[in-house]
Amino acid sequence: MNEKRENHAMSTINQILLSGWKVLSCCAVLGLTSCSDFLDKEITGNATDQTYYDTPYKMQSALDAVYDVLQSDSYNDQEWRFGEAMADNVLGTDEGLASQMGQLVMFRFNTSNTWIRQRWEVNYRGIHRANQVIANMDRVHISTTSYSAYQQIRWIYGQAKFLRAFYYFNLVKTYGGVPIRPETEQAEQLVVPRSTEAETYAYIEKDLREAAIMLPAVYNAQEIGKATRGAAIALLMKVLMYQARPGVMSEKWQEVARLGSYFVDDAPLTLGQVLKYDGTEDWEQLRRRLWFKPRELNTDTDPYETADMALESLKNVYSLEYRDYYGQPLDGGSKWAYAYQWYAAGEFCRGSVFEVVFKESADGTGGDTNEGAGIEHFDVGTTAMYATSEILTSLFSDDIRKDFTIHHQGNTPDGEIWQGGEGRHVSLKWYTPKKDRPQYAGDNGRNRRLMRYVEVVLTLAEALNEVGDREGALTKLNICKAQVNTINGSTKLYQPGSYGYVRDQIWQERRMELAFEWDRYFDLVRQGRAATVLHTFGRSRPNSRGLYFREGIHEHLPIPQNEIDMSNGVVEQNDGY
Amino acid sequence: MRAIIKDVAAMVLLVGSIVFTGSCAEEGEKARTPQAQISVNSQQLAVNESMTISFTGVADQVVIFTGDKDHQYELRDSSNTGFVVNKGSLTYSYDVPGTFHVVCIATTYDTYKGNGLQQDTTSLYVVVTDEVTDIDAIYTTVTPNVYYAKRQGEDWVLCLPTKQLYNNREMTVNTAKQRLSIVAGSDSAKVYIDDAPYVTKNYYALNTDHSIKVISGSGAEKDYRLYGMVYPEFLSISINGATPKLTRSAYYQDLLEYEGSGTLEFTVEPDVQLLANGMPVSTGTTIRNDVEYTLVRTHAVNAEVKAVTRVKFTNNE
Repeated sequence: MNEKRENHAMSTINQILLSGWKVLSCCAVLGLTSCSDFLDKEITGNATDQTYYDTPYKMQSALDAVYDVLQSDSYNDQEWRFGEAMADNVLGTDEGLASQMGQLVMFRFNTSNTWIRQRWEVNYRGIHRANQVIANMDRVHISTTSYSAYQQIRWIYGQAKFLRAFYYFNLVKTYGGVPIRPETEQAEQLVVPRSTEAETYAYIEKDLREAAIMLPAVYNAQEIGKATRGAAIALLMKVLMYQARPGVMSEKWQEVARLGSYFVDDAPLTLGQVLKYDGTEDWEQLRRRLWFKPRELNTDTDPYETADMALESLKNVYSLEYRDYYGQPLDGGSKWAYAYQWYAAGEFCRGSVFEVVFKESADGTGGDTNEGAGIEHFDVGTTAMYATSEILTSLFSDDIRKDFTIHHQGNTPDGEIWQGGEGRHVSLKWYTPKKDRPQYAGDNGRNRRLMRYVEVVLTLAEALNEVGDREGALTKLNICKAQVNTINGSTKLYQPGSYGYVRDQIWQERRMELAFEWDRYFDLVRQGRAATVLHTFGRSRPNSRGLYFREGIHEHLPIPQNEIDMSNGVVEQNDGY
Repeated sequence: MRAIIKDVAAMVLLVGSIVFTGSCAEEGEKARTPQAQISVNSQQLAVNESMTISFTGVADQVVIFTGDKDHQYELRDSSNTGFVVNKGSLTYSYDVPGTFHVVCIATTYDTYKGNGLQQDTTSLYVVVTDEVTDIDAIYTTVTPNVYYAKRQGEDWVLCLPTKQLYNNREMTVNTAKQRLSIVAGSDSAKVYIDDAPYVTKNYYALNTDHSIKVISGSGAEKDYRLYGMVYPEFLSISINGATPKLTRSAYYQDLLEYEGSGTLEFTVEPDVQLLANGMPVSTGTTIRNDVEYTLVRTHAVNAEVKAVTRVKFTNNE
C-alpha cells in the first residue's frame, strides 16, 4: 500500500516536473524570439558619452574636471620637486640616494623613477580631460541665438584649450617632444608615438593663440580665477621664450617682444596677428569653429570680429604695484605688502595673471585630495626644502627681498615664530597667515600663483634685449626694480651695458623676483646654463648635489620606463638614457 | 530527491578537488638553470651616446653593472649598485671616456618561497672615447661687458673697443693685456694657445692673432685661428674746423656718435677706411644724413677679417 502511494506520489511529482519543463521551454522559445525588441529600447534619461555634452552647464562641469587636475595633490606634490628642489635655490631634507626623491635631485635617477612617472601621468590626465571638452564641443546645443550664449560656450572652449596647452607645456619642457594624444581616443590606436619637440610646441602655440582671441580680458566677480586672455598671452610668451635660445636671434624673440608690447605697453595687436592668420582657413569658418556667433545670425548690435580688428587693451587689468583685487594697497601699504601678494588678501590681485584656485572644504573631513594640502613647506615637520644664509646671500646679496625670508626662531609678519631648525631659512611666499588658516587639518584654501605680471614684464625685457633694443630692455627692467625700491625707498637701478651685461642683470632680477616660486630649474634649463650653475652649486655641497647634472642629457628628463614598455618600443627614449 | 542531490553534490566535490589540486601543481616549481647572455649594439661609444644591452639568456632576474663610478661589479660589496633590467633590454650612456667592464648577473630561484637561488655571470668591455675637438665659445670679460668672438669659417674674430662706458664714466680697455675664456666642447679636451697650454688666469694680447689647438681626450687634434681686432676710431676728426663732441653708447660698444654737421676732415690708421653705405669716403667731404657711416679695419693678411665701428653724426640744431 505504502509503496503504491509512494509510486503514485513520485509519478505525480514527475508529471508536475515534466509539465513544468514543458511550460518553461515554451516560454523560453517564445521569449527568445521577442525579447530583443523588449530589451533593446533606447536608454532615456541616462547620460552616455554620446548625449552628455549637450548643454553649457554640462560643458562647464566637464571644464571643472580639467581645472580639478591642477588642484589635485598629485599635481602639486610633484611641481615643487621638479621646479624648485632640483635647482640651486634650496636644500632638501631628502637628498639621500636611497629614496626616489633623493635620486631625482641628485641626478642619479633611472628611467623608472616614480616622480618622473607621476609628472607624466598627472599631466596626461589633465590633457585627457581637456580633450573630452574640446572633442565634444560640436555636441553642445544652445537654446537661444544671443551673442552671450555663444560667448559662454566660447569661453569654456578657450579655457579648455588654455589648460590643454598648459599641461602639454609642462610635459614638453620636462621631457622634450611627447605623444600628442588624439582628441577622441580610439581603442585600436591607444599607442601614439612621440612627436618632435618642434611639433609639440607648434601644437601648444596653436591652442594658446586661439585661446587668446576666444577668452575675455576679465571675468565678473563670480567667475574670477578662470583663465583670461592675459593668461593665454602670458603663457604664449613663455612658451615662445622657451623655444628661443639666449644669444641666438630668432623670430620667436621678436614675437615675444610684440606680444609683450601689447600686454605691457598697450601696443595694438590684431586678431590676425595673434592667430598668425594667413588666409588658408576661411575666416568665417574659423569663427564658427571657435564658437563665435555665425555671421548670418548677427544682429545689428552684435560685434563682428574680423582679422584686422584690434584686441581689447589689457591696460588697466594688471599692475606691478602691490595692490589687491580692488586696487587697495595690500596690508595698508606697509613693508609686508610685497609678501601679502601671496596670501589670501592678494588673491586675484593686479599682479597675478593665473592662479591655481583652492577652496577649503570647511566640513572637517580629511582625505580630500584637491585642496592644496601639503604645498606649504612651512610648518615644522613638513619642511621639505629650505635655504641657508649662504644661498640667500648669493641669491639676494643686499636686495630688500631678502627680508621676505624667515630664519629659525624668526617672526612672521603676523607674529608667528617659526621653529624650522637651526641654520634654516624658508620663504614667506610659502607661509599662510594665521587668519587665513583653514579650520581643519588637510584643508588649505590658499591659492598658488602660477603666473605673475612681473614675470611678463621681465620676459618682455629679455626679448627686447635679444632683438637689439637694449635701452628698451633696461627701461622695462628698471620699472620692475623701481617697484621693488618702493619697499625700502632705495634708488638703486640697473645700469646700461652691452648685450651680455643687460641680460645678466635681467636674469639676476628674475632670480630674485621669482625665487621660491617653483620654476627656477626650468628657467635655468631654458637659459642654457643649467650645467654651469648646478655644477658650481654642487661643488659647494658636501653631497655634491648638482655635480652629476650631465650637460646635453639632463636638460630632458627620461620618458618613464613603463610608457616605453607599454608601447612596445613605439615611444622612444631620450638620448643618453 | 534529497539522496539524489546528496549524490550529485558529493560527485561535484570529488571531481572538483581533483581538478583544483591538479591545477595547483604549477606552484613550487624548481629553479631553472640560469644562463647569462648579453649582446650590446656597439662596444665603441662616444661620450653621452646611448648603448642598448639586450639580455638573451635564461633568468628570473637580470642585473647589469655598467662599470663606471658607483656601478662597478668589483666593488659591489662597497655600496656600488647595478641596474635591474626590465623586459630584456637596458639603455645606458657614459659621461666620461674610458674602458668599462660591463658585468651581467642572471639569477633564478624556486617559484615557491624563492629557495634554490642560482646565479650566472658574464661580462664584456665597452670603450668610450671622446673625440670632441669643438670650441663652443671664446670671450673676454672687461667689467661689466662680455665680448664674444664671432665664428668666421673655422676661425674666430674677437673685437674690442679702446674705451667703454660704465656708470657714466669712460674706462680705457687695455686690448694688449686681457684674460681670455675658451669654452671647449668637452671637459676632457685640452686647449693650447700659441703652443702653450691655455690658462684662464693668463693675460693675452687681444689686439693680435693667436693660434689655438684643441686636443681631445682620445688624441684627435684641431687647429683654429683667433683674430684679435680693435674697433677702429678716428685718429683725428674735425667738423667745420672744430673738434666735435663724442658720445659713446653704454649699450653698443661699436657705436660712436658725433655732434655736428658740415664738412668732415679726419685721419685714420693705415688699415682703416671710412665708408658711407659701403663706399669709401675721403677727408673733406660734406656729412650726409641719408647714409650709414662705418669705420672698417681690415686685417693685414686675411682680408675677410674686419672690425666695424658704426659712426653717427647728429645735428645739433
